[in-house]
Formats: sequence, structure tokens, C-alpha cells
Amino acid sequence: MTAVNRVLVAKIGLDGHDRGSLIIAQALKEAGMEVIYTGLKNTPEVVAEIAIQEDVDLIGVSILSGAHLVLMPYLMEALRQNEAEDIPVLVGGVIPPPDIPKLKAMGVREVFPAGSIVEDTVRFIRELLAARQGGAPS
Amino acid sequence: MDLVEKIRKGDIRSIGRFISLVEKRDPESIKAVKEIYGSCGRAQLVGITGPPGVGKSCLVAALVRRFRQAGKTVGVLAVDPTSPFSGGALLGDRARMIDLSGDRGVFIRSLASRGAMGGLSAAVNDAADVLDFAGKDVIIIETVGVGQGEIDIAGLAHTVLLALMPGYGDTLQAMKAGIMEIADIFIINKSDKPGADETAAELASVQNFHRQAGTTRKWIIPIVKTVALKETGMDELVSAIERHYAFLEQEGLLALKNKDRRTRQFLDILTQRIRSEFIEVLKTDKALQHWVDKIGNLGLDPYTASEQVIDMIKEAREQRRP
Repeated sequence: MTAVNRVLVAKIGLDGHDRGSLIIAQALKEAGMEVIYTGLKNTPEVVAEIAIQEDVDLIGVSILSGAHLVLMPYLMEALRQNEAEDIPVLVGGVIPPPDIPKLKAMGVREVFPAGSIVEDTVRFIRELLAARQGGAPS
Repeated sequence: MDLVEKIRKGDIRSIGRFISLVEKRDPESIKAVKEIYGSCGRAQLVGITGPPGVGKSCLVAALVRRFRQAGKTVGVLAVDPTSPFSGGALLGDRARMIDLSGDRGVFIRSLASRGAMGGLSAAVNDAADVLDFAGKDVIIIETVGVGQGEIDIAGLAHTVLLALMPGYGDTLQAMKAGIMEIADIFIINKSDKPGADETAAELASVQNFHRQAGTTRKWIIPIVKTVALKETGMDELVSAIERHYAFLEQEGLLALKNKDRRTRQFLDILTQRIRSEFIEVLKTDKALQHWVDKIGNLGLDPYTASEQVIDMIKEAREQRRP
């Protein structure tokens, strides 16, 4: 039996836009994954805590407020402090192209800016998780 | 330090990992369950079920807050259905419990039913045990309540809350057959909406009918009106839960419920194990495949076939006796 993947779809900060994250959540569910949805207005520390309690295989953060460069370091640090930096982190939302390498430098695995195709995002996640299962111990 | 030790010390990552392993029915987790089983039985188990949309998650959040105020640590297992089509699930219950996430005294875990025969998987039983072992005073289990899940939770929790809302009249009719057997406390949430009193009266009348019919039931099911978002009625709800738990203790029913749960758990695991063992042997045993083919070709009926297997087990048991 292939293991079921658990993915966290998280909203951080003062950002009321949840349509994108809900569309992704639905698409990942259709792709056979278990999606834990955090709801709006979480702190980065809370998102790290949720990721650990739920023992997720991947964290997808949705930020449409423009605050990604400010908020993401806190999440990456919270994961490190809890020895959970092995969980891959993706960011999607309103991300200007010059910020993409900056996010990756923080440890973010991939960025999906506005205009990203849902199917491509889902495929990327599926392939990333499959590779992880094949290689790293659970 | 091994997994069980880390859990005993309350390490959150280990608890999360363990529940994942238990969901996958991983052999390592089963080894760990064997280790902790004997130390379980401290926690108070509260189940909450009911149709979708009545506000179960908000009720759970409000309950957790109350239990925390009373100085208790809490575990929450929120179960949502796995899609039979995609195999995936959207686990959104904890989105209603955002303000609880920073509290170290609360552990929340979302679980998908993963197509379990009942609404609850065997994993929920084991997950409840690990939270019990990790020292949680109260464990709340939330299920969807559109069928088997209600029945299963009754077998697991000490106190079962059935959450409804005003205007659920027709569903109430349809659920009557099951309600009286399962619920220990009725909740009418969103009771600020019209029809709350009518729904309460209907629930009360169903109870009266049963009492008149002569069914002896020492526990009178309280009907609590709440508005979870405003925390209205929560004191009454907590007090009803505590009263029920005390009632179980006084009547000696607590030990009985615990025993029933464990017996049911054993039978479920036994059935699953025999089944998967048989399927495993079938993969390589040609003679057995031939035998199963006969059933498929209507040459051997499944009842006789099952009897033959049971007879074999009985014979083997006889041979073991001194």
C-alpha cells in the first residue's frame, strides 16, 4: 500500500485571501492527498507547531499580502528550532520574481508566483513527495 | 532515546510521528502500542458527532478552552472522511481552532477516515491511546456523524455528544432510530437561530416516549442549547459532561465501558489480521488459490468455505490443549 501524503496548506499573517489556497487544497485532495488547512491569520510559529503535530510531508504557504520576505524567515527558524527543517516548504502567492531567489536562499524549496498553473503545482508536489518517499527514511 | 520514551516525556514531534505510523499500520508503531497499552486508561474520552455544518469544530474549540481553564491538558482527534473517489481528504477542522494552536497543553491532530469500514479507523483507537499515554487528561474525538462514525465513536468514548442545530427537523426524524442508543448529551448549537426551542422539545419528546415504553435508562439525556461562537451555554455543557462521567463512575459503568471498548478493539484487529493474513498466504499458495477459485466459479459456497477454515482453527486449538 502506497503511503498517503499529508500536506499542510497554510496562511500566515494578515492576509484575508483564501481562494487560492482553497483551490490548491481541493486540487491536492483530488490528487489523493490528505490536506490539512490552517485557516487564516496564523503566526509562523503556530504554522510550525501545526506541521509538527500533524507530522506533514510538506508545507505549502500562501501569502498574497506581500509580506513573504518578512514572514518566511520566522517560519524557517521555527522549523529549525523544532528540528523539523527536513519538511520541504513551498511558497505561493503574490511573489515578485526578484524575491524568488531570496526565498530559496532561506530554504524554501520552490516558489509559485501569481499565474502558476494549478496542475503544474500539483505535479511538482506529487513528484517531490514521491522522491522523498523513495529516498529519505519516513 | 526510543519513541515510547520520547512520547512519555511529551515530545510533540514524537507524538505526531507515532500517530502517522499508527495510521500506516507500521510494524514499529504496533510494537510501540504493545508497550504502552498496559499504561493506558487514565484519560477521559469525549466523543462529539453530528451532521456536517452544525458547528462541531467550534464546539470542540470552546470545550478545549474551558478544560484548559480548569487546568486540564487536552488532546483532540478530528476525523474527516476520505473521498472514496480520489482517496484524498480535506482536513479543515483545526481551522476553527486557530487560537488553541499556541497552547502547549493542547495537542490537535487531524485524521482522515481512510475508507475504514466503520467511520473510525483502528488508528483513532491507537491515537487516543498514545495521547492518553502522553498524559492528556481529556481526549476529544470529533467525527462526521453521517452513519457508521456515530456508532463507532460510541464504542470508544466515555461520553458521546450529539450536536444538532435548529431546523434539523427532517434529519432528526431519520436519526431517531440511532440517537437514543448513542448520545449521552444532546447539543443544540447555533441556538440563537429560530427553531431552537422546537428542536429541544422534539428531542425531549423522543426521550419521554422511550421512558413511557418502559426502557429503563438511569441517565437522563440533558439537552444543552449553545452558541459556540459566542461561548453561550458552554458552562452548562461542561457541567453535563462532568456529571455524566461521575455517573459512569458511581454506577460502575466506567470499567464496563472500558472493557467493551477493548474487547471491540481486539475483535476488530483480529478480523483484520486474519483477513490480511489470508490474502497474504493466497498470493503464493497455489492450492489455496485453487480452492478460492472454486468459490469464484460457484463450485464452493463461501459459507462452507469459511466453516472449513474455522474447523481447521478449532482442530489446531484442540491439538494445543495438554
